[in-house]
Amino acid sequence: MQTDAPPAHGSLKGWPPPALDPAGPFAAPLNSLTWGLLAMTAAVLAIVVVALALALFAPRAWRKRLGGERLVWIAGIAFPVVVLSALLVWGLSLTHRLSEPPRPGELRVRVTGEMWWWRVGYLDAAGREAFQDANEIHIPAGRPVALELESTDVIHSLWIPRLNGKLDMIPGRRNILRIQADQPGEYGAQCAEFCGGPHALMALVVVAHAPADYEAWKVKQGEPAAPAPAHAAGKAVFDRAGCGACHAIRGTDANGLAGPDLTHVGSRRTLGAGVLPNNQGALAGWIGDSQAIKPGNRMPAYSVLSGQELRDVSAYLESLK
Amino acid sequence: MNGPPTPSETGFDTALYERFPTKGRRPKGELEQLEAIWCAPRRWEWITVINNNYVGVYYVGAAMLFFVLAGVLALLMRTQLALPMQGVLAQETYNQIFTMHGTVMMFLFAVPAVEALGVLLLPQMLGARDLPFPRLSAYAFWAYLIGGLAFFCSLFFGLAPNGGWFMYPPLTSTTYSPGINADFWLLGIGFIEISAIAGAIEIIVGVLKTRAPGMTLDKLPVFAWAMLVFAGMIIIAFPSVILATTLLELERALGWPFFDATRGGDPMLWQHLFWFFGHPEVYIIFLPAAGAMSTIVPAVARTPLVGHWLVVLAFLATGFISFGVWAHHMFTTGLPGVSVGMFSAASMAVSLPAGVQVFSWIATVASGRMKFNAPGLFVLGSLLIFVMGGLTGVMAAMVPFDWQAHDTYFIVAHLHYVLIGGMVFPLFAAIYYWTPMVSAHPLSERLGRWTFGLMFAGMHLAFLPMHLTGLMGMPRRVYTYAAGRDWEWPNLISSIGAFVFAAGVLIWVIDMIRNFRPFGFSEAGNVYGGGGLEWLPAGLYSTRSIPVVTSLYPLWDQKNLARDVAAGRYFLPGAPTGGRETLVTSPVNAEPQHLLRMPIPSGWHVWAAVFTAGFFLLLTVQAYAASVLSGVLAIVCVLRWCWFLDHPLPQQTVDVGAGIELPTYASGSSSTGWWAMVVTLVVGGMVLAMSVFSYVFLWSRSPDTWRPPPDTTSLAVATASAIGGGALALLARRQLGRPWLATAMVIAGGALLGLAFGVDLSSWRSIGLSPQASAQGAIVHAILAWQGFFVAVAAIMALYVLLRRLYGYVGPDRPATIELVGLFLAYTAGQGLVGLYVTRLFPAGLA
Amino acid sequence: MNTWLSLLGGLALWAAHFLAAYAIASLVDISSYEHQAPLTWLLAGLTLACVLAAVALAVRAWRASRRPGLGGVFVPRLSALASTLAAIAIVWQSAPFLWRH
Repeated sequence: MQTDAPPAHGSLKGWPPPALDPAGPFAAPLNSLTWGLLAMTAAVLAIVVVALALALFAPRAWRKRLGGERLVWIAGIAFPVVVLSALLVWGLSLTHRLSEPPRPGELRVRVTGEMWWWRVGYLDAAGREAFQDANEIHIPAGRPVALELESTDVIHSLWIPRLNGKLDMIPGRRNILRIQADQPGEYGAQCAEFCGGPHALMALVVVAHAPADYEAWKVKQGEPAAPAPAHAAGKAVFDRAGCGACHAIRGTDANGLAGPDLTHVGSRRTLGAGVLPNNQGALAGWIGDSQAIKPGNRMPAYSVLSGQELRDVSAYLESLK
Repeated sequence: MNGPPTPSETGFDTALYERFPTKGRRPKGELEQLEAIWCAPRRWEWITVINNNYVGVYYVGAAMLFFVLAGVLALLMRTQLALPMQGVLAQETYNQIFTMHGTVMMFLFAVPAVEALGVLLLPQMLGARDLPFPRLSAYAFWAYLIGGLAFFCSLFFGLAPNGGWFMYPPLTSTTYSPGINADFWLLGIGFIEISAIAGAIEIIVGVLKTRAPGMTLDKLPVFAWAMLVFAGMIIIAFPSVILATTLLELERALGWPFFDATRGGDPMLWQHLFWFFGHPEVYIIFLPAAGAMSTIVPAVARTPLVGHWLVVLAFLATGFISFGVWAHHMFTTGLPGVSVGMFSAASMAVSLPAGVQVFSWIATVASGRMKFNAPGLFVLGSLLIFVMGGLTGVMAAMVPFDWQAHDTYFIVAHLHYVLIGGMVFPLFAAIYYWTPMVSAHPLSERLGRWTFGLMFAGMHLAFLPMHLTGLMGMPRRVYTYAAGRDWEWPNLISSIGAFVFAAGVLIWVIDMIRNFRPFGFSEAGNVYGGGGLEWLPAGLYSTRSIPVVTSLYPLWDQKNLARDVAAGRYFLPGAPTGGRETLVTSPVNAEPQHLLRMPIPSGWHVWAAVFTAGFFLLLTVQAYAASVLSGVLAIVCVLRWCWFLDHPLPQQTVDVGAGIELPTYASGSSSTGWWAMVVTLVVGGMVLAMSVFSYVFLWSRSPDTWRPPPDTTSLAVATASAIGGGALALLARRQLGRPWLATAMVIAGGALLGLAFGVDLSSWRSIGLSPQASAQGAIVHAILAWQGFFVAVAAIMALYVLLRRLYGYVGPDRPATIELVGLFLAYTAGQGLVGLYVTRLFPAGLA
Repeated sequence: MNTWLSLLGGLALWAAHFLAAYAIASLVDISSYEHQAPLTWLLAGLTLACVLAAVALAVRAWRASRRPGLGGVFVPRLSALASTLAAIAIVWQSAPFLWRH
């Protein structure tokens, strides 16, 4: 078994169960609710098991008391009506509280589900897209962020279990998911709605920065790429192979819109939407044969590139921090 | 519950029941005649049989075949997921397999299995010789078997659908699913739905109209109650998915944008339509299984069901409230908060009836003495598993929790607990319990214990860890997962559990091969001591005579019942008209109304099924000419089979026992045909209602693009001709004394309906509304297309009436055909008017 | 016919209320804030009417179960409890309107 292989990113671990390990005010009540419901489930199951055991094995007198319509009235009607009424009120008030619309001026990030990656656009105060990034959402810790969820192809669903429940991305609609991370850190996410082909391999990482770090990150990401002269060969391979038809690198001629923006690809944590850790070797492997790593993804395998070309182009991309 | 005597429903004097059991010997040769009329098939006749004793067994067998096939797919999936990043199944293959697993389990196993159980058991339980339309259920079976096998075989050609059993567009639209895989789903399932609806009509009419005399509603067996509600739910729920599949196929084939957001459609419409069917579907599957549980628990505990009436109430409440929960599959789609809350509340309410049933079973166990035989074990296992699934269901009904759990393995665990506990285990209990009714040997108790033990252990091993896997972040419908995400151990355990479960099923298969011997002349009999009529001694004609029922458990409470029934001392001890026949009784009090002459085997329904399947399959592979030809042949076969119907017998009344004379011909609301037609029209009406919902829904998505309707002249002309056409057809029945006039009225009625349709259609075309350009164009044309389909059927019916007139089959002595055609045409007129006015007055009329 | 009406009346009432509440909820969703209050009052009135009607049906059926007609005591007893359950479900499904934004 390959259990010792690390995931593409540490935030994508399954233990402790992320749905039970909240990291912000939107996920915390869900966690309490889950534990409350699990306790309710255990209690009711225990009642049923005890009642069934008594019905089967108890002395005759006991069984006689159980064996009438009264049991159905009490345990099957009255008790559930009380429990369910209480649950309903809990659920409704919590739903209401958690679906408050974003406050005016709240930070907004537009996340668009694509087959099979995430387009992430950072909106300025006027609601215009300042710059694009992919497969990572960067947020400041300690304040709520509104994610505008959209899709241009099929239905996807963004699920960041430690920050909030999931919400679908539906063509023709815009859903708002609010998240907040109380502490800086990295939080795994996953596409939860079957979106065809390699739906299984469509992950995302949310990076929460300390507020000051976030501002610095934002400034840096907003800038165009600054390829070092040392990577001219790699850039030439990039241009020659036509990568710019699908990918944009701001500050260069590459301005394709179909695939992820690569302006700062070297600074990302993962490749292929959470499939590989990001390093030069992985980049070369991905470009050379992404179809072997993530079958069905929209990027063709560039097996025509020589080993040297792959090294050059991956070094170039890796340098785009 | 024996209250004071109740008034009569039909005017039948229930004091006549006192004449039974009759005294004296039955005439010689009576039994031999009955046996000859209901003789066993010889040589190739086993294909054309229509007797439920055969068709029911075939039907259950086919459903179990699909259970095993879909189970094998599950094993393949669990093998792939046992370890991370395995290559046992390629991504595309996995996606096809998980789609097929869900689809086959839901559409080819679960619904047909419970429907099959109804076809097999109901006539015996109700004391009928057969179901009221045996040829229809045989047709439904063959259509299902042929269509289902062809659908399954698409897997072997890599053509199986791969968009999930829920088939959400736009993933399943031509843009993202260009192959014919999705068409296989849409046409294949659309077709099997027709078979399910045919079965439901059969069951509703059977339960309401062919009960043993005296079997009033309070003595109606609990299983029959469950089947009645089940069939009613199919009638209400399935039209929604029929509409959904039709709309998506229209979008794929003709480019009508119902779900395409770029042209004004909305993918959410599919979700509403699909889940309006899809959630009730779960209860549709669960109810008959619960009915079986409520039959088997008392039998193995040897005591009447505690709170029988509460259980019946639970069925009825489930039947209603389960239609208010569809959007709980859509809590993460961003529905408005208030609606979400409503669906959450209804989801809570629907769990009340489940609780009632669970505690009724526990109380029954307590009041009796449970035997731990094979059906008993399955019943107990079912109870525990179902309660666990129900509780996680209450969890998922809590909206905020569902935001975490939705589309994760937690839900996979939940739904398998509900379906395996609520349907599979009860079905196995039912198979063990009722096998002795149809087979010469019961199934083995020893192997049954092994089957139960392995299935029970395997079930928990496979699905209990999945609750955790889901909370650990694993989404559903993933063909693999990356290593190092801690999902390895729970997945490996689940995979082992799946194989343990499969081992249990394998032992059951071995048991069946060793012991299941149906169609013989001997039956193992009532080995578990049940109290229902199905345990009366029986032959292929069912019971020798049809008893008067005075108890909910007649075999327990009515002394010497088996002996007297077998000696022919009750209703219909022979075959007074010399053919296959059964008693038709009234729906509330089961008072005898008339004698129903039943059809005999013939090949027409089999050919009809072959050509119906051919029509849909050829359509899928885009062989349009061959498909149309096959469709025409199917219609011809159905008409040929109808041709045998509606022929009055020379004897207008016959003695059905003890000197009680009943008519041999019926029309109007006492006849089975009238009920079947009304139920069929409810199906049509539900499709119409869901179309109107779709119309309003699509309008609300893009009100600015909605164009004003055509001029009012066309509205007036269409209204007048629709009303005129419907009225003429309805009134034709009163003119049967002048057969040519009646025939002409039906034909004129059909022509007027065609005119109304043509005027409506051309008025929309004249203002340039195109079905491809906008959602309004698409949905208006869809409503028109549905009306056009009815007008076409009406035209065929009118021609059929003309043909019958030419043969002299239209006259005052046989009003049924004209009456039913009149009903259909009048409904078509009404449907046309609804479509006409909705599309013109909404929203324009609001302004 | 009467038997079926009394048997299913309460549950049919639930269905009618559900349909109306669903429509009102959809309207609330697309209406401006000032139109939401009247819609909610409409729902409240409807709920009150439906609950009263369901309770009336239940009482009527319970009384009928003492002097059985067609359907014996079975149908009226079922009808009484079904109407009671319907009333509970009606109240439940109206509750979300208390939590609108």
